[in-house]
Amino acid sequence: MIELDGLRAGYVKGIDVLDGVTATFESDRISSIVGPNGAGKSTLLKTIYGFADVNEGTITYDGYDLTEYSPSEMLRDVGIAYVPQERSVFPELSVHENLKLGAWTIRGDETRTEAAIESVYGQFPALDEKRHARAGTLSGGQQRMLEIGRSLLTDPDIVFVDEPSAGLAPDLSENVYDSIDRLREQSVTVLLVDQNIRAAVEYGDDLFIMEQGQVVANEPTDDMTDEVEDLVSEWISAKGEIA
Amino acid sequence: MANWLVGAALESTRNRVLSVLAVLTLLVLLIGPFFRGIPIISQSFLFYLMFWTGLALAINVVFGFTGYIPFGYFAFYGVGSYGFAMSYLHLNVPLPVAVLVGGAFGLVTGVVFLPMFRLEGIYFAIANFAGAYAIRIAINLTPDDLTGGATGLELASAYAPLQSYYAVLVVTVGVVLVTAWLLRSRLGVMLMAIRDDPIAAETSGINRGRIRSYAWLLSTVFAGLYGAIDAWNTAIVDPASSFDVLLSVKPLLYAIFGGPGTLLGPVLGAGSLYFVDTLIWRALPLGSYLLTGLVLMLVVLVLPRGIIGELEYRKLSLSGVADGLAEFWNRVVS
Repeated sequence: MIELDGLRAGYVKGIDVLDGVTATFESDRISSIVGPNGAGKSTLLKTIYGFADVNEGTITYDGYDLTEYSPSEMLRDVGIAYVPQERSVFPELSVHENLKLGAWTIRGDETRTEAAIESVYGQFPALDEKRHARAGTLSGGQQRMLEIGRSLLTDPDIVFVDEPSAGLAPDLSENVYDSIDRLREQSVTVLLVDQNIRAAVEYGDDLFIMEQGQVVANEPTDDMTDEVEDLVSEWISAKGEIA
Repeated sequence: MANWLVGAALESTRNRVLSVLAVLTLLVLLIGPFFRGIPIISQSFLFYLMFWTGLALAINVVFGFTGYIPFGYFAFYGVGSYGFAMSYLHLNVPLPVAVLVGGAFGLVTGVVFLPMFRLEGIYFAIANFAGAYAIRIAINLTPDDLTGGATGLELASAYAPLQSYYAVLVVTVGVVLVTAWLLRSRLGVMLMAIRDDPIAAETSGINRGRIRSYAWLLSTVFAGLYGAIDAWNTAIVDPASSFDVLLSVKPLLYAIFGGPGTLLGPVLGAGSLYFVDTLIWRALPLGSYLLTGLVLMLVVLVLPRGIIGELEYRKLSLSGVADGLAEFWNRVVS
């Protein structure tokens, strides 16, 4: 499990975007993190992964101090993959080359690499059809699939996914969420940041609500209190998004 | 299978053509100093053709492969030329060894500049330029006995244009080979991944700080070597000409013009622009500066990826033609 205790963090010294976050993300579950814009959801993932500065507090994973690891060590040494909110394919490289780069940490094992890449093609047939196409020429949805597929190549224990469905057509979104759902069966822990509240509740096991840099509520999605359920309903009725 | 054969045949043809061209060029350069009676093509012209081509390739290792713009690149050339001059004059080391000392000076200065890689984009470019200029001022202020101060050092006894010609040939072959290796090596793939998307590269397990610094240090060694060889060739070093900002701008321009991040791009860019530059300079000395500025503006507007970069992007390269033929075979023939 990942445990955060009194976490204050941000991008500039003296300005904490995360204002004392304390939370526990259980293993083998999908933890959905929701909240209004600017609540600190994406910063939370970036901070755990080492892209933002920790000013105070602790981040531990099964007792290990995660602040000791740089972002480039997270996948190889800790087994955490990260799909950032921003588009992150290598536009000049082909789909296949993008996937090979995703398997960088296991590059010495050709058999495993090829098997992992073929498994991604199996999950996302649209990528298989375009394996030789330059990634920059793919649609937004296909690029998102490529990013998620790339993050799964090394069989990570934990996957961080930030806004998986942003800008995707509904049928593509479903495909992406199904692939996240399959991770639960593979005992992969998922931290899912999502503006799509309906999907966050439907696919998540635990719901974390963030406001102004703090986790203000944390409940299992199948046993929410009336207060949280009302809040979620209110957000969903506002077109399923938070204004 | 047939598609693969068509592609492989064209790819090997391309490689064979390029190899033959490379060997012919090398032969011409080897016997270059003995050409007589050909207008413009003098030993000096060939020396600086190789010099600018090599510097363009060397700066390309940083600019083309990492996306960082090193405006202060002239610093490594400058310290390289001073390393050469001082080791020769004060320590009496043999001239080829003094060239290596120049490369080492470039490397050490590159190490000193490494913390600047915490900065991105224009901030890196400015800090880099400021650092380079600070070195120029510092050399101006050093004791005359050591560096010659503001007037520099004379190296009349080292003057040996034929030897320096072959030295620049060796170093240029070296930077060509290093670039060709980078394009096929894991280091090159990592560098290009970092250039295209640093966050995605890092989340794939690539340590961008460490990998970028490798490219940077490799590039600074070559700048130091070129500074040393140019000092050998001209037999003089002084702060104004050894730390001239054009030593950053011109190689950058050549690399951008030909196509950064490629091997042929900087070679083509430096070769063509230096030739035109020489012609104009002979007719109108100050016109070459005007040309440099105009070409830079035109390239950025019309060919943002450079000549080779645009050709590759638009699939007009031989490998692109191979892809097209393979697709044709796939669609129509089979």
